[in-house]
Amino acid sequence: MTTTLKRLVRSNEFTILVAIIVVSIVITAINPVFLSLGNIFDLLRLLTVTGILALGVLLVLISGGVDVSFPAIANVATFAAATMLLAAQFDGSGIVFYLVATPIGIALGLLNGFFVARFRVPTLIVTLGTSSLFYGGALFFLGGQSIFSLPRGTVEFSQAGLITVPNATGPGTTSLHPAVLILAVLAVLVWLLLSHTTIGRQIYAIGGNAVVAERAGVRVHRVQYFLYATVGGLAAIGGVTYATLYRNANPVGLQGGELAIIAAVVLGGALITGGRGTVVGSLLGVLLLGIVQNSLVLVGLPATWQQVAVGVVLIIGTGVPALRALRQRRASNGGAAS
Amino acid sequence: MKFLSIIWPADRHIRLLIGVVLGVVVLLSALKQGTFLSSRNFTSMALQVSDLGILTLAMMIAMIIGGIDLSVSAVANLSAITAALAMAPLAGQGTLATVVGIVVALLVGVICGVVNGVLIGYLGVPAILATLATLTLFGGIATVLSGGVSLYGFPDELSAIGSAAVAYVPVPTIILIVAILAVWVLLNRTPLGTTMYLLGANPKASLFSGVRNGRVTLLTHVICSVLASIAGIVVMARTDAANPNYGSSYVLVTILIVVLGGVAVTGGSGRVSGVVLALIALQMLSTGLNMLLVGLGDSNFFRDFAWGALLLIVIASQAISRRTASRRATRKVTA
Amino acid sequence: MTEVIVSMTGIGKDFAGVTALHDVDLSIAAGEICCLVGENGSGKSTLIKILAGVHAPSSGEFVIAGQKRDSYRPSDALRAGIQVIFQDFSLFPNLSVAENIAFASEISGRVGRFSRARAAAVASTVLERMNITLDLDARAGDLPMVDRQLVAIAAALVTDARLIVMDEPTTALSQREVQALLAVVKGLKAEGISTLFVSHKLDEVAEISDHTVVLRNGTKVADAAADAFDRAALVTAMTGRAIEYGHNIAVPVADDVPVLLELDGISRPGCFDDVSLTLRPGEIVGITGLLGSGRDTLALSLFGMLPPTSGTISISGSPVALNSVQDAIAHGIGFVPEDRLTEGLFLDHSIKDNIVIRTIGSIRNRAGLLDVRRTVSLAEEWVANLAIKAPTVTQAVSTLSGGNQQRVVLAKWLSAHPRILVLNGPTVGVDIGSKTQILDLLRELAGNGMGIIVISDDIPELLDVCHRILLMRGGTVTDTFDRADITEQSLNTLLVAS
Repeated sequence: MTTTLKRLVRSNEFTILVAIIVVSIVITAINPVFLSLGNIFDLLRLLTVTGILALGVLLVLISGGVDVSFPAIANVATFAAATMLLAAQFDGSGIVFYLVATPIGIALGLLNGFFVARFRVPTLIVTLGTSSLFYGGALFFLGGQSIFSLPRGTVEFSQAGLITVPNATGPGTTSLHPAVLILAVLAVLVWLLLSHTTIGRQIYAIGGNAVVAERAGVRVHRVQYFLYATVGGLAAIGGVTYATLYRNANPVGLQGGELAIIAAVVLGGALITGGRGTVVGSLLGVLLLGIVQNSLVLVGLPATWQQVAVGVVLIIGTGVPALRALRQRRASNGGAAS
Repeated sequence: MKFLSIIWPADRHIRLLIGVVLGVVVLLSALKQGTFLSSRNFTSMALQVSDLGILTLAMMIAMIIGGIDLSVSAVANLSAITAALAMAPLAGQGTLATVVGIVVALLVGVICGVVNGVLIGYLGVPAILATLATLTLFGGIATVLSGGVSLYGFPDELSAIGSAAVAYVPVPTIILIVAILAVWVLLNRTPLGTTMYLLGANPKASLFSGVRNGRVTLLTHVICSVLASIAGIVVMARTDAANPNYGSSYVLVTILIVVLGGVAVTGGSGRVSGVVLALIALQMLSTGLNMLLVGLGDSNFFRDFAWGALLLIVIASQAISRRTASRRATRKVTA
Repeated sequence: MTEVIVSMTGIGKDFAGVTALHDVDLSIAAGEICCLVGENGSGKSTLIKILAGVHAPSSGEFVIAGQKRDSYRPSDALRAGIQVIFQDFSLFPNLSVAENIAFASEISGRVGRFSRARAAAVASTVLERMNITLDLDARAGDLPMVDRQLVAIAAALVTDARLIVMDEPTTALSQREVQALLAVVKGLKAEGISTLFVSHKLDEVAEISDHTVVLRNGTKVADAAADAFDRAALVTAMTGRAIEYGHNIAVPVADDVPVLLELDGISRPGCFDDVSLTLRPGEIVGITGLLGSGRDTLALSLFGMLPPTSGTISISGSPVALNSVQDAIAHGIGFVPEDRLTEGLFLDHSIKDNIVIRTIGSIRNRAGLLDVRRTVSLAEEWVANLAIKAPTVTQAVSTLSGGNQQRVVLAKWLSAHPRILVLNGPTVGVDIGSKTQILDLLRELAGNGMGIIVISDDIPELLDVCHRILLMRGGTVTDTFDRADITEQSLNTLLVAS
């Protein structure tokens, strides 16, 4: 029992949690508005989409790759679906929006999977190419204008609220958006996949040592296709949720956001070299980065300083573990058998 | 005999790129005779390619040692903004201000390079991660320093660099050419250059051969970031503005050009000639697309689509040729 | 007539022009312990990989579990009941001990739900069988080498294997653990499970083998019941040379020559303990012992990679600190590493680049730039000096044979004119002709005043060239043999220990 406790305390997730608590306490001390329900709900709304996308990033990172095309898949799948629904003059349930976009996302993800599995090219390079391909293609062939006419169901959903409270920083009210539940459900599903299915453990195995995985009978190609298809689907769901929350399908709304989300997942304990990472850690990383990015305004930090703050957090978050690993290596006994 | 080997390179990849460039030139000349083959067009292309080209050279050397540098754009912008701020109080003294600005920009480049080099070379942080962190930090500092907006009002001497031309060749392009030559000399005529290639090829063997891996990485990133700050100066001179967010999409394009130019993603190989040809090819394709698609929608979008498709095609063909090559090559194996 | 599990006939394997195996026959009966013996480079690993379905043979055929096999992949091997434990242990460092052990049955062999409890149960059952305890939740990558090897063995025992192949399974194990493992192997035999035990530790082979097969340079040179071999015969079969302990005795260097290198009680926890050694210019000292004896870490220590935490190292009488590779080089120490392909060479780069990298900082012309012509001439000089068979120095070293590749590594270090040269396994994977040449080279270098330390498994080679041989075990030096004084008995000690 004590070893499990010890392991828990030393884990990356715990460190991030502590960091979040510390930062939250400091911010609240300076500006109690931080802990108000209104502010928390606003924060959650902002982080819902990031959280959904982070799940996909986590899956790829565990397998040993870095995917930068997920914002493209999210935007393009959503935009394509919105275009189709508009053309068909669909004005019904918001679920259909999800149901149309997700297969598109899966298909786009499978293209990534094809190049990674078949040609054994690093995911980073493949997804650099597909990111450009998807964005360029969508903008050129489908047009570059955001679509504001979304199905009625989607518009209704965007205005929904589970709990309504007075606005923290101004007049009116704000609410906890039910989209958070989508994130929660997806998070649980991904967690189940990673911890309780064989294919999930195989993803970890591939990330740990792909050569050995193959030797041990893992069908690496199949796993990779499944992986990238899933990531594509998750991205699409994230994209539709994004469009819903902001009430328009913007073909480039998430462009440029890939590095921040990857950074958040890495902060949460995923290794960029693969084999490690948890859902809880990733979501905590997203939360920490979200707090740093959005709530520092509450302590009077000008908006221009946000990026620096994030940068500092990232440098500490990558530098400190590296330093620790370095010291460990120096004290080791050579690693090899003798 | 040697001269022949220069004009007819043995490298299949380089021959392919030359073919593409010539093909594009011929095609466009035929289709858009007046517009393509004009000196105005060539000057315009030469200008456009100058800062992108310098950034590409920076990315190239970061990738040769087996890493990557995602912070190049941020370094360029930070250098430009710092320079702008340094020049502001010297508003009256044009030449002095310009010199100060340039020196400051280069210093910023060195500092950024040291930060990257220490993180990657001495602390062992993976390059993607380290430069992702520094990209954010440097960009953030640039944002703070500039107040989030573009800075203007530079000395005329600086703008002159951006607009002047020597024998029809724009000065920024001359700077690019000088940078290309300097990088070529570095990689092919200095001990550091050879060491960089070998470090990228096999860091373990490099360590066992007595190479100071950390130091080489540090020097590489300093050079890389200094090149980035030179690019920043060029942009400042050309556009008369320093912006914290300029060229954030350039990073992807530089990686595309470098990969197209034959640099292995894992490091250890790649030639300046290949990267230069890829740069030219892409610039011509870009211009060509602009010309051909006039009126058919925003050609920038199609260009991005084409770049993505091109990268994927090249990746696939490189992978296929690697497979056939390893089947043919003579390799010794310890059984 | 006992059932034959595996029958391989006429197996050959070429890797693009290089023949790793040639016309090898091997058959393993049910419930038999077959030992495959051979030096590094003899083809053992390739043969095992073919058995495991990782490589397809270039010629020959094999019958496994009664079925002739044409296309044969790792999953086919697993299904046929063949489990291979590779030398790298094939572990997932990021997964837990239980997951690693139960991997084949709970992760790759199953679709759907993964149950940690079931994996733990499977793992603990097999660990009980092996009579060892391990923390099931620990991450495999955090374990010491010993435990990792045990996990690898446990993983192989989990499946319904009919044949378990163990490639050098006892490298990191202590005597006690080795005995436990050998007991497990004998237990498997009682259950009717066959074992292909690959080892070059002759006393282990002697203890458990029913049927011994010897490979040398890719061909089978002996195959008989275990008791047909005595130790000396085995070594002769493995190396192709008779052990001539009375022949070629190196003339000892006079005592009044000032000591070049002196190690005085150096220790590094977990690696080696209280090692002392003196080396005079002109001497060649050999160090041998099992893997895990500390000989490899000692070598790395001399090269500055694993500095000792106590004790002193002195060079030419003055104490020195070897805290980095740079320190070692500054004191004139050169190092030819064990793994030529990953540690010694840049395979895709030219012979020239591989040779000059060590001294490239000083090959400059008057402008301070690299003197390219000098790099070429320097490389050509060394190619000639060491008789490296290559038409130009610009071709990639990957095109060279093992012997020539090793000479490139030697050239790299010799071009820096070291005073002390440490070599780990200098003739591994090298053909007989090159072996002789390299040993002659070492003698010549010693004759010119270099101090040389050779770490090797190859006793005949050490006898051929060393003035003194040190035997290490468990991190300490247990015996020192002066070449001139080696008797049949001390030779046996040497052979048993390696």
